[in-house]
Amino acid sequence: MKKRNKNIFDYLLLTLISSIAVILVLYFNGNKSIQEVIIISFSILYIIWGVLHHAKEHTLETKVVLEYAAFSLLGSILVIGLLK
Amino acid sequence: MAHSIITLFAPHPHNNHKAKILWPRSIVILIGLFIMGRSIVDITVGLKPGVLGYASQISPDIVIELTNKERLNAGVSTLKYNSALNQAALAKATDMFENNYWAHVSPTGTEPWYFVTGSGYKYLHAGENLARDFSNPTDVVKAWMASPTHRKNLLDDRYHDIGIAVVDGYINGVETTLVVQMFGSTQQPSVARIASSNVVSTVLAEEKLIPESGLSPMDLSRAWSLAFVVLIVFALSLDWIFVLRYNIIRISGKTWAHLTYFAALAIILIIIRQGIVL
Repeated sequence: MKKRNKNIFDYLLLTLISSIAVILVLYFNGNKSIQEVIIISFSILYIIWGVLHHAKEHTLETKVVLEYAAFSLLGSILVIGLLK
Repeated sequence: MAHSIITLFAPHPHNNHKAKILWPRSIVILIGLFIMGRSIVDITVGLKPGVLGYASQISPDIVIELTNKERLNAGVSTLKYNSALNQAALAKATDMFENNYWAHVSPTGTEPWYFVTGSGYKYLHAGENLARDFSNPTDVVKAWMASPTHRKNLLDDRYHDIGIAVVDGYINGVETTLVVQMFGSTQQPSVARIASSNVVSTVLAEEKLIPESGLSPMDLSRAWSLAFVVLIVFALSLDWIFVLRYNIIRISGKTWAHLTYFAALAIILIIIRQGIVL
């Protein structure tokens, strides 16, 4: 039960980070350089979230970090590619 | 064939219980494919400007119509199309492309009023709104209305006339669509000589707006990015269902976390506005 609560907190945190990123992008619509910074920061925070979450669960391995890094790189390129 | 598709999209003993498309090495391949697709669009636009109908969806007439709609909603009189102001807008857009700038005042200090006076429009009041990189007129007017200074210009009851130019070109090596909106009011009507000479410029401005394929590179880029997000979300959803259904235990990133991240990116891709107003 305690573990489930911990997970819920982690996922709520990720949802909060994602929501803030969406709101900031909407707020700065038209300012591409700020939007790029928001997307890069969001992606870095996503990797940090993954590392901390798996470290807490004692499941942190190189391939897990690589997975988060690969997804965040793809995500950043998909959005920044549109801004360019 | 069926087996390959299954192992590509669903957890299976043959893919170590993780869809192959979600493997980091597949993600790198997807990045490569995305960049390749984008390069094809950029090269096509660069080699054959207009082949994708760049800026084809921005009609000056619709920009004027939408502007007047906003003015009517605000209880302000509508604006009349003025060929002299239209020529001024066209001259301003041409000057920005020729001198490689994007501003109300050129690097040499030329102000918008220079173009207005140069077109023969003897103004009492004049104003200018600029926009670039929009794919349709609705978004242009929406963006102007969302900005307090542009909105003030657009709804100013001192203006009676309007001129619009929508022109394609390159600024700093990047293909751009500029929208120049000129407002004005004059005490005396424009002389006939100015009006007739501007008929030509109007036709020239509109010639560039004829759609060749109806596709905008901006919309194409958005669709291309969204296609990749949809593909990843589809694979992640399948993965999540299989993991829950068959209670698969494996060392891997959290599918739900990836889904949250990509759902946010999908929303961002949809809401992002590519145009800028000045």
